[in-house]
Amino acid sequence: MAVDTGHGATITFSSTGGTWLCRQISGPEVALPVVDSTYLGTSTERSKLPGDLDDWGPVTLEILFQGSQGVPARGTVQTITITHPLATGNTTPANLAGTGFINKVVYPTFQTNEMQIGTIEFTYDGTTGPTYTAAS
Amino acid sequence: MEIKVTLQPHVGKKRVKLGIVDVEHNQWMVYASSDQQPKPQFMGYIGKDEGSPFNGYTTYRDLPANLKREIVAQVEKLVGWKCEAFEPSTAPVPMEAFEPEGDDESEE
Repeated sequence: MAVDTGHGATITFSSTGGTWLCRQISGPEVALPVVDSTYLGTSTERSKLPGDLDDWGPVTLEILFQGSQGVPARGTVQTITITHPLATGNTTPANLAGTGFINKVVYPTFQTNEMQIGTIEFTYDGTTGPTYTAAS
Repeated sequence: MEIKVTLQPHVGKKRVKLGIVDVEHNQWMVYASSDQQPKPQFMGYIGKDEGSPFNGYTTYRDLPANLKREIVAQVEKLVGWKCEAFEPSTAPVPMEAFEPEGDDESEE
């Protein structure tokens, strides 16, 4: 089992060209909702059921903003792939891929002696994937 | 150096009621091998929709320019369209990484 830092991870958008200097990719989160099934006759503890559908939360990318690059368009549905760093001995890195769209961008705040940092937020739409494929 | 580029469909796995099924991601995974490295190495992705760009991985970025051109040329031949090629950039060193100079105030 190999452990590694996050350095070298990449993110790609299948139909949006561009190179953004990404310095952080927030961990994609998927959660199965908890449904409260408590009723007036329930005794001792509240009762709960697992929900029916997984719900993927938004993923945030922190980028070093480049005036010449701008930010990608919102709303274009495309395959979004987070590719892990390539571990020693592997020829294919692990990846998480699925269809989704960029839903939010934040332009940088300007401060003396501080980098211009922008953020891009996207959401997997649940149409295709997301799937996680282990490194090989 | 002889380079050979191959495309493999990007297929993931997903668990459904009947078991684990393939999920097609509508993009190719691009691999390259050479006479010195016959085992195909992952180079990046290209979407299956016509006109999609080639998104190179760090393994592609680290190649010399002539090999990058050769890989992109072979990708274009395989997919059948001219594609823009992108790669992860080497980020500039953030300013906070530099120590300010000449700010020492000696108390003499």
